[in-house]
Amino acid sequence: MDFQNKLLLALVLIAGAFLSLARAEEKRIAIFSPQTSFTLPVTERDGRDYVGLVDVLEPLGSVRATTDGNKWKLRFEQREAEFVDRQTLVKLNTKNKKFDLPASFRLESNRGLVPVAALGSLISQLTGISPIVFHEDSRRLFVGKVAVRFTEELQKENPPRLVLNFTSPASPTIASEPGKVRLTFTREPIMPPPVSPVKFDDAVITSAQYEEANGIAVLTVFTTAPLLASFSNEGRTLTLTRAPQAQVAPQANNASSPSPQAQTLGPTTNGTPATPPLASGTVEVPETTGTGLRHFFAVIDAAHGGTERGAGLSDALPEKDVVLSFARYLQKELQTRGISALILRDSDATLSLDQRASLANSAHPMLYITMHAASQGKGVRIYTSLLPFSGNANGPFQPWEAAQAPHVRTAVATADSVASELRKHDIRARVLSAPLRPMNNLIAAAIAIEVAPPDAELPGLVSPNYQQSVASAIADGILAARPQLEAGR
Amino acid sequence: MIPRHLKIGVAVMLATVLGLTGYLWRLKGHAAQAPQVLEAAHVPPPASGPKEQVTLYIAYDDPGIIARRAASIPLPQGRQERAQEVLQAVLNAYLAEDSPHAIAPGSEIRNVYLVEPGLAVIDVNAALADGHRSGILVEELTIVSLVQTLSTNVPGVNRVKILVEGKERETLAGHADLSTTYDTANVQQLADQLKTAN
Repeated sequence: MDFQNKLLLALVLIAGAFLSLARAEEKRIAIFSPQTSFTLPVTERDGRDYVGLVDVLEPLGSVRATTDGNKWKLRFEQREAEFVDRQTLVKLNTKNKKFDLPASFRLESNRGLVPVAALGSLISQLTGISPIVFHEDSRRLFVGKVAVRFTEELQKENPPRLVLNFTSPASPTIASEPGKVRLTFTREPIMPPPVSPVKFDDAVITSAQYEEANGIAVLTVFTTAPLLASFSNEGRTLTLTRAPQAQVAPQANNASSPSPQAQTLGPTTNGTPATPPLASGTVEVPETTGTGLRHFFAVIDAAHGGTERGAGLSDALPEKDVVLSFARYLQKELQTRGISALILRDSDATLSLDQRASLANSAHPMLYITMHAASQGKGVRIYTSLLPFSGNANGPFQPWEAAQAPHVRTAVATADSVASELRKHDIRARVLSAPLRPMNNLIAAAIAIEVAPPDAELPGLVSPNYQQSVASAIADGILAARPQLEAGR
Repeated sequence: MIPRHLKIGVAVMLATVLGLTGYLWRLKGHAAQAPQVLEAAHVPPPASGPKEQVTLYIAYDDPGIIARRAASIPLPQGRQERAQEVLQAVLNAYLAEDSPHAIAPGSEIRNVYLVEPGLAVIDVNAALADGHRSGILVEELTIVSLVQTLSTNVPGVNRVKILVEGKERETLAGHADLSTTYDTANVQQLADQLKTAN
């Protein structure tokens, strides 16, 4: 081996070591609760996994932590607990009980870290919520009655189809590799099936295997032919069927008006896009890569947060809290309509406008929604960017200040659709443009929603019925605009 | 023995360096004094001169619209001073007792700079921005009324930048973008949208 080859080998080894280190640092825990689903980074101390306890509890309810020397006192809703740095014993004040952690508590920069292994029983003690299910090996924590279960049924028709029925709408990321289709569930609290792997008596769809790791659940379906996937039953049923052979786009016009509930799986075993599917109720979304699908996916940005309170709707009611509540309602409403949605700020964190734009852009959503609230006026105002529309003349490279320009028309169509649905729900709605960042920096259709009280009274704004009703109408509007959003992509 | 011509050369260079240092020092002193001089000279422009017809774009919180209103106000001679006076007339309407769009007491236009070609810079005081109500609509009503009034009354202005106490801010009060330079054509479209509450 000459010097150049040795050098190359050394570089490859170093790169491999870096990659493995990076992977090791990406340990995460997923927490599923009725309010929200989120993931948190896991850190290692003395070879054990730890997580910030306040980070876990914050999305679940009101939490406050204070440090007193080496003691760390935590209050969640009405319950209190006291931890001591480097000790395993936890005092639970409300029940006057004591609790032993499997490893010592860590107090670092006023931040309380608890061993991940203790999380199941600790959350149960601190919140009183039941049931708490914790899959420790895969780091998936289910808080309350959130579990989504599914059944697998192979229907031996021609062509054969694998029907997956979920107890709640699911929207996995679907990717294909030679000989397999992988369904990845990052946001859904999917529970393992009773049996795995399952073997099917079929030559095309041969088996399915469920696995969990690092907060994510994956169902792999093994196949000998390209498969087509479609959703139905409001996202509760996912059907995998063998893609029709040798069909060449006889219904090309269908591609411009995709069904709201349809997603298709294109790549064949050699990684090329599949032929257009002809199954009823499904149309092809053109592939952009050799693997995976273009996923209909919305990012909900709860504006303000942390030190940035937004408008003071009243002395005790900052805008940041109201919009987070609206964002959670909207996420739920979108998910019940089979639309995946990620909340950009799902805790009281401070994010800059540039950070929000960068995070949203990196998720490649079809739609970005920034939620705001105001005490002035009545009803809901939907805004789009003040930028004029311009074609995609710059190709993949868009100027930061005008990245929204190619998407303005789609955003306006979506805003009109949302306003129309709000009016159907007897909620006053108005569409305007606005000089509001970070909308101009988004590379997907972006709308801002400013919710004002239904009448002159501010308490109406925080009424759960009103929030639910507004979120439901907005979700209906987005669902109705889905064809435009997909076509405008 | 150092040659004579070298001594003379070094002496000339030293003298040049000392002279330039002194000159730079004086320039620096002038630059430091300049803002103070401006600050000291800054007083609200007197409302003198003959009354003239102007067009103001006034925001109405209820029902959240911008309406065009004719007004007759005394205007000075200078183009920049006239621009400042017209904008102050808008703020005065908001500061009045029966204000349709209340702003903080003490709100004021500090200066308007007309920069060629077509760029105007409105410098408002901290009272206006710090005391402004927060919200997308309520903030954009203020921005649109100022920009639209300026571009209507001062021909040739097609871009407007808003500063607070001479400095750039990210937003007016948490929402409306102040980091951008407004294109008056885009603001005109927004003003059209804001003509009615529908």
